[in-house]
Amino acid sequence: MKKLMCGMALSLAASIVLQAGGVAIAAQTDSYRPSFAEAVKGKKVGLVFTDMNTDLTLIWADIIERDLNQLGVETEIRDANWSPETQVQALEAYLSASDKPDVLIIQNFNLTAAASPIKRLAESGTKMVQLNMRSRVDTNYYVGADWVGIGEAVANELVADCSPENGKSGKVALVQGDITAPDSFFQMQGMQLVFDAHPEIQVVSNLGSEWDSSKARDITTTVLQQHPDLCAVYGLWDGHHVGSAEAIKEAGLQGKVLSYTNGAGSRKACDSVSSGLVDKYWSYDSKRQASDVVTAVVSLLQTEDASDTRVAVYSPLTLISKETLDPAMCFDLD
Amino acid sequence: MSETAYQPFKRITRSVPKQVIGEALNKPWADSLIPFTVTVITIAIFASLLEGYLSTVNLGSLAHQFSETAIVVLAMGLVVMVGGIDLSVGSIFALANFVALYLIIALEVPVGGAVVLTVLMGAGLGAVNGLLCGILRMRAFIVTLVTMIIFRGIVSLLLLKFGSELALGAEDTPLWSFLGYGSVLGLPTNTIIFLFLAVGGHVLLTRTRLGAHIIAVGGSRLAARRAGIPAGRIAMGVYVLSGALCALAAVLYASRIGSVSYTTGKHLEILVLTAVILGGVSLGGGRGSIARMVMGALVVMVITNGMVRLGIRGGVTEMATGAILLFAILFDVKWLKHKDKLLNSTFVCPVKLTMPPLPDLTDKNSPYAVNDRLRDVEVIGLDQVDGPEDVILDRAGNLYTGVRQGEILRFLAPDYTRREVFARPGGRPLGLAFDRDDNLITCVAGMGLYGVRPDGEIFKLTDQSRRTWWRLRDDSRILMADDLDIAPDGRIFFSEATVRYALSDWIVDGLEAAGNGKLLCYDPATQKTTTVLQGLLFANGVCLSHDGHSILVVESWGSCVQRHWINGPKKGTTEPFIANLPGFADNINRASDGTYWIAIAGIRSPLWDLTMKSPGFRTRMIKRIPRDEWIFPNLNAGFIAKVDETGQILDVLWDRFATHHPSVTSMREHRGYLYIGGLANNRIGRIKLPAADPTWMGQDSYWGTRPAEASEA
Amino acid sequence: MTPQPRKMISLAGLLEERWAVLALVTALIIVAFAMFLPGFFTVENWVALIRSVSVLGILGVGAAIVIIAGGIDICVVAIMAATAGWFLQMTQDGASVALAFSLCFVLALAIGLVNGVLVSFFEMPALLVTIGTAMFLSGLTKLVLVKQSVVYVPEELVDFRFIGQGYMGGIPVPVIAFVCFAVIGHIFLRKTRYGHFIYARGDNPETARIIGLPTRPLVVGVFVISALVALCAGIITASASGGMNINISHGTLIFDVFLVAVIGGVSLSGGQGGILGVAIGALLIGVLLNGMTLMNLNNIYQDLFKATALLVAIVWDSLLHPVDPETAREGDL
Repeated sequence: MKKLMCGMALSLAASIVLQAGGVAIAAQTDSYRPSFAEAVKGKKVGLVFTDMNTDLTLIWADIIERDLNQLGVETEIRDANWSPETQVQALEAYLSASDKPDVLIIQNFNLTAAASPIKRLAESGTKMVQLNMRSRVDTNYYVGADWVGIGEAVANELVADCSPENGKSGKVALVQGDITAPDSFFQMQGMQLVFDAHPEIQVVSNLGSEWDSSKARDITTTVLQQHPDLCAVYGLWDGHHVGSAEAIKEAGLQGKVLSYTNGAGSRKACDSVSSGLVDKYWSYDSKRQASDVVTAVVSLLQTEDASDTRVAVYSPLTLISKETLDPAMCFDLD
Repeated sequence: MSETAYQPFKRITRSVPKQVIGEALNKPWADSLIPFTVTVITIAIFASLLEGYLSTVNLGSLAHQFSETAIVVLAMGLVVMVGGIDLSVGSIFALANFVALYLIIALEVPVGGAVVLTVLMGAGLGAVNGLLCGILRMRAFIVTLVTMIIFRGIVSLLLLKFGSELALGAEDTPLWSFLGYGSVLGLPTNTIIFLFLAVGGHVLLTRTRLGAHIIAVGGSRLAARRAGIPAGRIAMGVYVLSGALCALAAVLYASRIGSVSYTTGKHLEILVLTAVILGGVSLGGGRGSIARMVMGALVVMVITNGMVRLGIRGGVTEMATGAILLFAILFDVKWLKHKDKLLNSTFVCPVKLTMPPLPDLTDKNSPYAVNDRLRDVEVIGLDQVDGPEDVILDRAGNLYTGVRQGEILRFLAPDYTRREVFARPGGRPLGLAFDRDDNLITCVAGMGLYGVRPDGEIFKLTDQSRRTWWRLRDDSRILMADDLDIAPDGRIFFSEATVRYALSDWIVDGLEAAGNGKLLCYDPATQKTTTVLQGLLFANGVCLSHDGHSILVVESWGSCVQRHWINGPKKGTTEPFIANLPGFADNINRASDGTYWIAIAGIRSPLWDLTMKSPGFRTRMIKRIPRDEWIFPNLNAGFIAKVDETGQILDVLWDRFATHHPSVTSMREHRGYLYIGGLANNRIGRIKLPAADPTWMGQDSYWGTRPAEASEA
Repeated sequence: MTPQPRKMISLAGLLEERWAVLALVTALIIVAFAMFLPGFFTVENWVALIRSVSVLGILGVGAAIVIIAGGIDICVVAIMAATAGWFLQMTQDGASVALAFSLCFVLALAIGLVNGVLVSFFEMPALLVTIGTAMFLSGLTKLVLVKQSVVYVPEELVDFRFIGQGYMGGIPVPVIAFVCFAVIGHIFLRKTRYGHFIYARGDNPETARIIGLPTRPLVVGVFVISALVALCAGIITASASGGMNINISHGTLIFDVFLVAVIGGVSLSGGQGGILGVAIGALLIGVLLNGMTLMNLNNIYQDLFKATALLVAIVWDSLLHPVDPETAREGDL
């Protein structure tokens, strides 16, 4: 009892002292709240992705919509359904709409298609976040993978794993998605730097698969027949790389030909590593990217004039391999 | 005054409003009605769902985004109309897009040069298709399928080698950004170019010979070939044009989007084919128009764009496009199949006609009492003539008649056993008359008013009259010139039996009873054709009265004859000559004693009169039962009547047992004989008229006797 | 064209048959490759070769039946994607293989019926109808039947993988399936009554109708056959690849199917050709692609070469059998 009385007296004294010192606790409001409420009131965010049927776009849509809606921001989705034309139509429609969104989140197809509408939307005052696939135009935020960095990282791994000094042939095959897409363009930049410095590594095939796993499969089958001593196949996106992995397995070379890829990091990433289809998987964790986007949006909404804002939020990479495998590295789509 | 009397204004005002619908549906632009309605409905739906859809800003934006696709629609549409298909449009588009960007970005060719080179390349690619499909006559589907894959493969190869180089896009030069983002007269540049091409295409198809040839080749390549049209070269030309148009569209696309990607032009051929089919351009070829293609394109683009903007998932848009395509095809197939039936049933617009009481032919005391006076006719040209509708004799006594084969035959005097083809005007020669200079003037159904000189040379007098301004259907072409006569001053009065029906279905005019016939006048001095009378119920026989002051004109379905004054105090007025005949009269000609002969081709029946009283009955009949089973005016049994100047019947001649002349359409008196013709007969008849003047003949009656010929006879 | 009993087989007479020329050309190419390309004429290479074109061959059999009957079915790849994709999605979500397969069977049947009825009873042109149903089906698949563009074979379905990846007597199962389909198709077309009716209907639909052949049920039947063949092809593909990518309905597979049929002598105007030609056509394509792979050409060159070779083939065919403009059938695309 005495201790309790002492304690209460102490805390009372403390609060008086603290109050006297001017640091408000119980009676002070959270000063961020009013301006936050003002910033998000009646605001709308538009999501314009390449399609709505892949693991990245599905998790992005899920998390972004869930979180933003909870914060009081309205969201709407425009499905380009694998057609850059359609995406341009959606963006152009926003340009002339009376109720255009305040922030747009755009995943581009390639560097040029949406560049013009994006530029004009920026000039008209719309704040924009480019997500994972940028156009040649800068926008307020870029949230996504650092493709040049991924290219460098993967190239270095390939050098290490395939070098003739380690008894390997030095031959690698690259399977791109859309050659003109930013992920291909920038990854190749990063890879080229490394390969130029390491002439012992020979890129025997560097074709585009148009994001199609069956095309990737055909390409890989051909390459494996042409180069039976191939060291590794790197697919620049896991969506089409699954075809290459199957081709390797079909040729009975699983484990002998290395299978590398990158992607969103959904459950199938961990599954494919554990089953041996993929040897090394660089995940940029699209679930985390979605949260980053929410942060970017919230930040932009609270910025009056964002015309000078140029922020890049590169996604940290997680290398998933048999050695490092941990179920927590992969997210599940519900 | 019964309704059969000449009351043109009343007849016209009663019939024309109903006819408008049928005539509207028969117009070439009627085929566009359905696509037009669909377009309007589609735009209305999306305008209501999307705010600000119809604002200038939005419409301008839509036009900007779709003009390139619309140009490709024109390309595909033209190829489909010529009877082919071009599945490679998407690949040509992609290749041209790449080449244009490569020229401008990598090779730094000036914009103008790049455009020209790219379009030429497109034309060259189209020429490959054209050579294989047009000249070598290979199957377009499989050939363009293969070229599609080949061109697409070339694009992939080029992308592989040069794609990264072009990935960052082009520098903005003034001309380049003008093409992509400039505007002319408030419309985006690519839209202006599209409109220019669309109008040009329309003019090409509808007003030029080449366009008619394109449609002909598409409609029936074989028939076009036989008509002398170089089908292979025409088809080749269209494919080349298609390639060039796709390339042009691609250049505009490049200036707007500026990206090279494997997705460029993908599925463009399906999208464009859907638009073309929606617009009612038939896949067999030969049917369609630029306007309809554009409407189809509009519908497809509005729907796909609208669905994107409504936030609808891609899967739904695809399903909707597929469903719309299926409905469009279904409708097109059904429309083609039933169109003629529908048009026929709406074109005919029966009108009520109250006939005067039918004279009783069984009454022995009736002036029309049946006899058998034509039993003993002499037969001329048995089985050598097919349908001698009108007969006439020249000063030398040779017998002329027009037959079904489009010829005017001549039987030589005096025995009429020798037969020769005097002239071959074509069409269906009907009424005949000699003018002052002994030229044989004839009304040729299907062609107009023609003349034949004594040496057999054919010349055209007229085939057009002034278009009736209040008729929707263009009736300036004379489709059914029937009979004629010539006034002393040389003016030719001739009848246009009906303006709404032609040689193949003139008898349906009887069911309409709408007063579609006209009396026309051709003046050789001014070469002008004027309309003298309108609203006639099948204007048939024409005869100048003996005093030359009036024209008698027969109204077949009216069972009456009108007199129109051309001279004298009553000039310009019309009064009934014979108000009530027992049947449908055909030709009327002068007799030797100041009276007239009139041929009655068929008899009215009480059933017919009843049918005329009920237009509703006739409408239902036309719509519900096949044409073979309709009630038609009877033209199977008739007679010849002699009438005097007051219109009173003096004499009748029947072929009671239908041995030689059951149905008579004309008779001509010449030197004491009466020569008889029939529209469906296989002979000409000649009967002696004991009481007639044996020296009288038509030419003398009209133009005076000639001393020289008079002595020959 | 009714098959007539052959009295005497002479080389010249044999060469009249399209497939014979094709077989000759194929044989020549095989000989050339065997002589100049090391590794071409090995057992494993041939196994891989035939295996790579098995699915194409199966689809070619189905396509041949429809085309010979006078129709065309653009819908087959969409049916493949839809049925196989739905099957995998259902088994992923826990349904039994039997149930999933039954439902997919019903789906394929329904689509075949719809196509057939629209073409025969509503008299709509087969080309456009099947383009429309393909679009509709593709959208439906994306919207309702599958969740993601690529659906994987569930880990538990080990037996299922046997269909695409297993071997029976050293021969890959897909190859055996192809041979079975080809044999059954051949017997059906050449030896049964309905096969003869199909040729008749394709050769001259009006006459076939007038002499009393059941043309409408026949057309419905061939579209149903085509759909079911597509279902089987889809199952095999899914099993072989470990998944089904529904975007193949937007790819060029459908055109490869027609090329196999056409190069195999099946005329697009109907009434001509046979399964034998299709089989040889598929073989020829496999040989060409395999040869090019061994010649170190990448896939783009292979596609280009394949298409160019086909162009040469059809041009040559048309020069050998030129179309007589006076007697050619009008309105053929």
